[in-house]
Amino acid sequence: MNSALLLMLVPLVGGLTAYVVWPRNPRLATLSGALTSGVLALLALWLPVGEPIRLLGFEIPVDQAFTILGREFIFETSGRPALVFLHLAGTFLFAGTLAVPMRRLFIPTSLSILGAMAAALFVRPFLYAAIFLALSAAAFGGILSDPRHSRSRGALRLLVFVVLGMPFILLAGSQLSLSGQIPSELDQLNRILVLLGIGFAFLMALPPFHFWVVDIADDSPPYAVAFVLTLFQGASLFFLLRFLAEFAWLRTIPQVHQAFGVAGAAMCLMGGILALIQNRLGRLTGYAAMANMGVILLALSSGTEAGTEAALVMLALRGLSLGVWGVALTVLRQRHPQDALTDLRGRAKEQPLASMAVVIAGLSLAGLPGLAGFSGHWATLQVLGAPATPTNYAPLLAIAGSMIACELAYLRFASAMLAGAGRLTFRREEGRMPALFLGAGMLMLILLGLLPQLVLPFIARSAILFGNLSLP
Amino acid sequence: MESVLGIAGLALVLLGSVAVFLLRTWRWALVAFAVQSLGIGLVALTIVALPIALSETLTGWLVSGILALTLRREGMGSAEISVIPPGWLFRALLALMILVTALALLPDLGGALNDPPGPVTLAAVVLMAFGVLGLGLNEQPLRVGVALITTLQGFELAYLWSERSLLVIALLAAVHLTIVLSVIYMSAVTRQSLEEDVQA
Repeated sequence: MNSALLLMLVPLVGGLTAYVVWPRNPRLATLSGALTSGVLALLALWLPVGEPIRLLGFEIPVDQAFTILGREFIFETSGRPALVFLHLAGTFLFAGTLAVPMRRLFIPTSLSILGAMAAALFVRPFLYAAIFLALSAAAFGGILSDPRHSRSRGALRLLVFVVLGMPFILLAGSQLSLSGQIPSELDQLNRILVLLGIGFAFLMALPPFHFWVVDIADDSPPYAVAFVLTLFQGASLFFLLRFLAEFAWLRTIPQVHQAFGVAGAAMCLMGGILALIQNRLGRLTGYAAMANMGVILLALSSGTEAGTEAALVMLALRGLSLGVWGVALTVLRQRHPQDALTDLRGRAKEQPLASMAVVIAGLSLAGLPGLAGFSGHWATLQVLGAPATPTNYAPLLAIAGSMIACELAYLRFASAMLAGAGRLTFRREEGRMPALFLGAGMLMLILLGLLPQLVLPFIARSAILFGNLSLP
Repeated sequence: MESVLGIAGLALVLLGSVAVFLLRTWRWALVAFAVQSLGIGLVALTIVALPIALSETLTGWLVSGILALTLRREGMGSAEISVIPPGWLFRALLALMILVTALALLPDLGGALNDPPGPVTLAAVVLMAFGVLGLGLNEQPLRVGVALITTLQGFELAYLWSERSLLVIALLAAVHLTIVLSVIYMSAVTRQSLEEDVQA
């Protein structure tokens, strides 16, 4: 048995099964998708690396590497946390489609994308991961457009920006291999850093390449948007972390960490300010997600292990918030397709649960104290605030400013939804499954906000597996 | 022999990419795209073995073929629009500017691409420039897809100089085909939605 091959092929087989089963029983197809992803998460967690499996007295040999067209794909311990995260997030998001039915292509395409992301983690040299990410971005077109969401502007921009980013990373990689990993000439070092900077700016949706985030949040099915913003941006972040882990000399260059800081602060400020002036709920979440990614980059800019832990905590909780937001906005749009501020007036009376969930999930994404998303923001503030020197004030202010701005923006929408609602009657108009998912989602967001110690140590511990990312 | 192939390929790349950029009729634009792909194969032949160069051309032809079949089914291939569209002078001037800029920047750009031979650098830079220009000037998914693939073809040509891994070549071909399928899907969804709106 080959663990890397298994973890790459099972998603494809699962996707094909879901596609075949769908016409007869969509619910079964959805369950099979969630189950496949769940089993893959368990496999990624438990499969031994380089040791045989002992089962009922038998020994099953497990290879961790295989070769395609002269290049190796290796499943290593350092890849575990990323793979577990991607598949757990996939399980959660696939299960959510029981509440908001998606189209037939959603589960097969998404599972194939998970397979491509696994390949991105296994491929050697790891720089080729950029090609798998481009492949994923191209496949996202299949889930980000449907006849009810026919504007493909966001999906097209995602495709264009990610595919344009790939060449810069590959070119930087080829220059690194020419220079024997550590560039000795200043000109060459600068060229590599510029190429990497542009490549990752495209990949991580840094301004001015952030438009696709806002456009898909506005144009595409909300649940597919949650999938992309959680899994694709998660995979891009893991790629960045791996880059820093593999090229240790990059971490010795102070400008690299400064670049993370500047980019993160810019994303926080831009996301916060633009979130405040949005009149459509989708676009608001696009900017809130952008500010959230800014906080993650700021956490990484600290150059400490605690910073990496904070970034991973942010990433995990962002997925939970976006999943609940995706279900809630889909339910809201099922009744009225528009989500402008004026269209949402008084909606809390018609759809109380979905209205409440969309606001709570948004506030969690923005980092409101008492909700799940706050833990990551607080951890980042602590990492960046120690020691408390005047030079640390700028990133702290950027994070605090973006949190306040995004929270005010969501409260503005909450106020509109409540306008004229009078005494709310909790009619269950959302249907049983959406109501169950929204209720459970809100409960988790509040529970993890109040008792973050329940899961955060597990997430934070996984940062160790990315290697020592702190400044040498 | 190699230099003759390189110059012939470069001429086809220039002709094809300018034509793809200028022509609005899909049928002729796809023929130009196929010519451009043939040129890429010829230029690639000066730095890599025949099978790899052939795969570059075949991928381009496959992309043209898939697009041609789709457009034929949708009845768009022979749309009643002029071969030379309005605003052609603007586009022609832009194309001229791109060519002049590419020639002027050639020595500097070679370094970033790991210094491939002259015809390879020029063909790669021209393709990337026309591709990026096409991305900026088009909003229709199919046109954006063609422009994106043109950009990627330019990069691939230059990248072949420093990286000849079969896996990378196969993966990049897969990226081309996934892009085409993705933009065809987006285009079909937009079209279906418009038809439903008209019926409603």
